[in-house]
Amino acid sequence: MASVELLSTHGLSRQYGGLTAVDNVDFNFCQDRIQAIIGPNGAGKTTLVNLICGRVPPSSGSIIYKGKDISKLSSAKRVQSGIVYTFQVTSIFSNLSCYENVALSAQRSLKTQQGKWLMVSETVIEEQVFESLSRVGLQGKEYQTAGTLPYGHQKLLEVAMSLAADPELLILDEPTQGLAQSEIYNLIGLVRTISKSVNVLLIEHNMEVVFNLAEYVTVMDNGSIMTEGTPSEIENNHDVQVLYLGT
Amino acid sequence: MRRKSLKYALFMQGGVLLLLFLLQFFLPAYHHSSFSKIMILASYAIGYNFLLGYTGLMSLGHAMFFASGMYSAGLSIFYFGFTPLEGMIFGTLFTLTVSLIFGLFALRTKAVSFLIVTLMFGQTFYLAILYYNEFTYGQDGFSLTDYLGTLSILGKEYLYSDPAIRYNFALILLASYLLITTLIVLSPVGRILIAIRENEPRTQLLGYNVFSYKLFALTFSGTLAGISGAMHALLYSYIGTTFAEIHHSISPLLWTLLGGAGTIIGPLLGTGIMFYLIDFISGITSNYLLVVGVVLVLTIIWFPLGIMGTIRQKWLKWLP
Repeated sequence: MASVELLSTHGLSRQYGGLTAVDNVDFNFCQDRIQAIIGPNGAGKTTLVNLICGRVPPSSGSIIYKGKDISKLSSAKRVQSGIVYTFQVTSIFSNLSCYENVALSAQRSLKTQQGKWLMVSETVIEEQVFESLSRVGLQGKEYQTAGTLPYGHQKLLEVAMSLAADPELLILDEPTQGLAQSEIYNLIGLVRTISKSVNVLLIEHNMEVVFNLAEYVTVMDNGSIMTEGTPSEIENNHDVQVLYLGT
Repeated sequence: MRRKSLKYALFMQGGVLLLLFLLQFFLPAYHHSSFSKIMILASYAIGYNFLLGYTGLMSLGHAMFFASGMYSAGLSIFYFGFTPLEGMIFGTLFTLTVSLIFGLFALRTKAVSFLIVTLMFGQTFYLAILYYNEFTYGQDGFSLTDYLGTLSILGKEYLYSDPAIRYNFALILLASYLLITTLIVLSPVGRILIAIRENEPRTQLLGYNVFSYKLFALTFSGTLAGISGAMHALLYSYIGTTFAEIHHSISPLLWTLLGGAGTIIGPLLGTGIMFYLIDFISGITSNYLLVVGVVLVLTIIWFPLGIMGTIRQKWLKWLP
């Protein structure tokens, strides 16, 4: 399969004091497939995606997105160019309604599409908000205050916000963390639907979810990439088994 | 929801403004003059609230903006012979420039550091007015009475300090502040400012350039304060350093907190209540600042949302 590279990192590193959280990583993300990054706690997964979406600056190395170096762009600029990040721990606007939460995201993407100085009409925003909320199954909750939603629904709201941002590359950071089993199945279905139109990069602890969804898996340990491959290759990889099971 | 908010809010504000308009024909002279003053000061507080209540930035240097509007309008009329209208325009543009430049520096800091930077700039501005007293007349201030001329309306000449002129100019100022802030707050831009207040890092990660929105909010808020200051100079013909003092920066904070930060009409209510409370207390003791302090503390403990904020939480969800 000749996949087209959407995003790649080259010699990307990030140090925190004496600790190298991400060490000289060359990571490739190819278009039109769900890719996952797995690894034990502290492997550097979240730091790597933080570097990709610009929440932390790299110590060295570069990030190429659609052929352009984006390492120097602000996080806001990267979102505008289509790299959208969904938080591990939900970071919604808990005092605002679900409608406002999604509208904030929709408004930005509509503005980017329409050009900088045009005001977006509320009717268009509204349409987008209702669509995004119903895609994740939160229709009818529009005017509920986001902070009063159950945790699982807050996670879905995060996803709705990301969808409204019109992503090209959607980074889901541990989307199933803290969810009940039934909610996890629901989310797997949702991510699969989303992935038909959006490139999905999944950071996940839950192996069941990873092997259910991902078409290609990158394993990280100690800040570097340990191995990469299809889910079945990874499942049968001896080093990965040692890493996870300690045998 | 927003459309409903806008419709209801405009009706309510329209009602309040109509009431204020009609009251001028019934109020005794003393209260007539108090109301004029309250409306000017409330406009100042509405501008302050735009920054505190809707963007989440607390400033302790707003007297600098009020005074820079007041002094630039006043001094330009006094020295260059500007007409009152030219003075107002100059005052507006001058304050706009001051707040924009100030914002570029101050907004590099956050939270408490921002508060302290605003405080320091405010004090520097105040001391600069005192220092250049040959030009600004320092602590004594100066009067514009002989420089303003008269205002001709429908063939009749009025002084700017005429009570009816004062009242109605203050009312027009208040009305336009209420309208413009309501429209901005309920627009997509207002939504972003509120998002910054609620969760700044998340707003950045939704793809917004948070700095430029904060800069807009600060410049807009500062300019509103400056226009209030310039208007005050015209209607009261007096320019003095009391308006640049720290306590004139704390006042709009108090009025806003009491009335309800993040509500459009709150600052008007807060200003009115504090004005009459101080008026009443001054008759009993000269230490009215003590009362101001106590009200501030009690408000924060029992009414952290302020009067209108509490009303919104309990009954009027649509209140912007």
